[in-house]
Amino acid sequence: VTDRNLLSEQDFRDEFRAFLAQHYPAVWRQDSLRPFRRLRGNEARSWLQTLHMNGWRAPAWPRAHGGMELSFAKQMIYHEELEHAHVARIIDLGETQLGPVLMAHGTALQQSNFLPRILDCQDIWCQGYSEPGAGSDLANLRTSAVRVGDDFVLNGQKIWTTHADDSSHIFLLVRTGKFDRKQQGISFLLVDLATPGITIRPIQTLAGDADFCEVFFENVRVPTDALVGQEHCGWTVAKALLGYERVWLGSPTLCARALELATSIAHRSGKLQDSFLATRLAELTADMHDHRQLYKRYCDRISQSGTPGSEVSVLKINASELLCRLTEFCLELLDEAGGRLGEFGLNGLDIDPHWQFMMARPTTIFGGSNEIQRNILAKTVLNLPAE
Amino acid sequence: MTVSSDIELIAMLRESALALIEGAHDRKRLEFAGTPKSQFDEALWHELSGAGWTGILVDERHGGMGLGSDAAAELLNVVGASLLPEPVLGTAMLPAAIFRSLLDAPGVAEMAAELAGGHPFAVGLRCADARYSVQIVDDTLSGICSSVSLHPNASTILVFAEQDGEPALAAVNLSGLGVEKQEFIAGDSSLAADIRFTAAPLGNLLAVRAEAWKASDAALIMGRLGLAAMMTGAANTLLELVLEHLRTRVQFDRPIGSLQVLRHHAVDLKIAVELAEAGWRAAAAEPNAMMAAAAKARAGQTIVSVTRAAIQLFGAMGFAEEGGIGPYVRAANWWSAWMGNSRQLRVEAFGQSEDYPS
Repeated sequence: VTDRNLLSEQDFRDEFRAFLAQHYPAVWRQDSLRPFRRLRGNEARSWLQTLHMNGWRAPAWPRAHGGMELSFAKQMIYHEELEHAHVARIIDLGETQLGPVLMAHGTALQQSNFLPRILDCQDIWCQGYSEPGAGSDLANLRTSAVRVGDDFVLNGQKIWTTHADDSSHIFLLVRTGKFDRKQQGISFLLVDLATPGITIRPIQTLAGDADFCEVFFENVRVPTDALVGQEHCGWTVAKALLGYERVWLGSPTLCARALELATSIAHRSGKLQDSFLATRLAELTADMHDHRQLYKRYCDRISQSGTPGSEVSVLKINASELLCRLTEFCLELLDEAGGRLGEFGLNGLDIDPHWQFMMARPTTIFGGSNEIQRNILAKTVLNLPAE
Repeated sequence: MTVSSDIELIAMLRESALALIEGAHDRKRLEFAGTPKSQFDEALWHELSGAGWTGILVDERHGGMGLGSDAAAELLNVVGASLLPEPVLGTAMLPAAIFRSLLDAPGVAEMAAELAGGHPFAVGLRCADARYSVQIVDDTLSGICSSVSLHPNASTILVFAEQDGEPALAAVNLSGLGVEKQEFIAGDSSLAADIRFTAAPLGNLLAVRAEAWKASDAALIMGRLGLAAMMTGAANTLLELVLEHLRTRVQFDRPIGSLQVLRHHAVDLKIAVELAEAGWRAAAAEPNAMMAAAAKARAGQTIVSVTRAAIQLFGAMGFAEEGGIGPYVRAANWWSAWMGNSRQLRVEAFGQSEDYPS
């Protein structure tokens, strides 16, 4: 596979754009009906394998581990081209979350065992962090792992586990000890979901799908080499990634799709004759433009400093709240039709306004609710006194 | 508009501007006791023109520094942060942007050299809705230029007008026949006026048609980018004052900044300031009509929300003139409105026609 870092930025962009045009199936594109379309299961696996076979997989991973090792600038272009081609999202936690964790904290054996199987999609990973009593207050987690001989024995429950029913493995945070600080005594484990004692139950959401699951652990025995990093130090292992998650959650892509949909609906419904609504659309378009400038500025900063600081919570808050405003605006533009469920045609445009509205709702909650993000910013960026 | 891209030079410019203002500008003069007054300081103007401020954008062949609009915006960011009432944007940066876009037009070399030497010019911009409120007929001007920034030493106004349905730019004697100034004090304590022309003799016609349009665009881009930089500078300074108040003001035995509702409010103000900062810096790096309009719209919305929140967050002292919030609030209301308010600019930059784009 060629080192695409050697290409000029424009050549890199052209090559990836041509590749996507040739290989990405039109039926999987994000469109007016499914502006935030996600691929999962076999569809996701098939697309990731196509990327892998053509040397376009894992843009941020080092070449030594089979990734593209792109500069941050080229990673930005990579994501811009995915957006440009309306490629559906894939929650590929093996690549985006676990891979970087293993490279930083895993043993050589864990790296050689798991990293190649992430790239070729033999293993599909989900993330077990949240629990019924540990959402925003993640350090309050209680799923326990007790050492019994050469094994850990797990008991407890995870929730909001995205696509657990499509996954073969789960990486999770468990309680291995009690200390003064509740962030201590947490460990990071790798578990095969086929292990006896694990039950998965999908959760139906307001958007009408079941992207999230509950995962139950009842006397689940896993070998102690499933531990990543030091025992009791899993919080540090997991925390390093949360910054990147907030950068990703703050990207302009979903908002761009929502604005595209709002613009199409405004035109097709003749609502631009209403100067109030036309002004609202112009203001939302400006909000999108402004968010892009902010995103670029923060990404430029990260590309210089190497790591995102807690200030990237700004991106997550701004993007998710803009997404809510945009999807609400779509309902408003549709008058009475804004209350309909399911698909229908609007002067030749296929839309499902209820779905797009509901898909935006959880973005202000997951990845750390926006209230938690504001707490973080107040403390770390504004240096306000503790509550 | 051009971009300097000399990062070190721009940083030095910023440092020296901060030092100059620190020594020469006392914010006390911005206090408002019910009667609006201009707070122009002749000695300070000399000092800053002596430091080269009026010549930053002026081409080197005309005796200026020949830097880009990003350098000018950096300076204006400092001007805004310190609420300097001297009309740097209105009577130095605006005319400089015009001269810069008309290097070879007759008379420009002399005027640009005067500007670089510290002599200010007034500018009558085209309206925010891209129409002209001044007409040129038979070599005379008639109509009104609104919201013109003034300077006691400005003797000439550069007026964008319409002649035979096409844009034109004239340099007119400010105290000539048929020119009447209706002066007012703007929110930033500077002197401004609506200027009425009644068959005023056309002075020097600097440009017509495409050239005049280009100069008009250059002035508006510089003006809006400059205001975006100024407003963000002021918003940053004021937000820091608000945060310091939240950290130190104790009620119910604890700093009020420990109360979640105030912490979250402060974070929202910070997000607004970050958006404004990203906006004006992006526009400074890529100065065009759309970027400048978007940056000004965002910065205007930001300074308006920060100033109004500041009155509330400072408690009763926020409403007292001695509390120090007033100058920011007044400047915010002027700067956010001047050259188009946020709503107007967003419709201008991002509004769509009714036809479905094919």
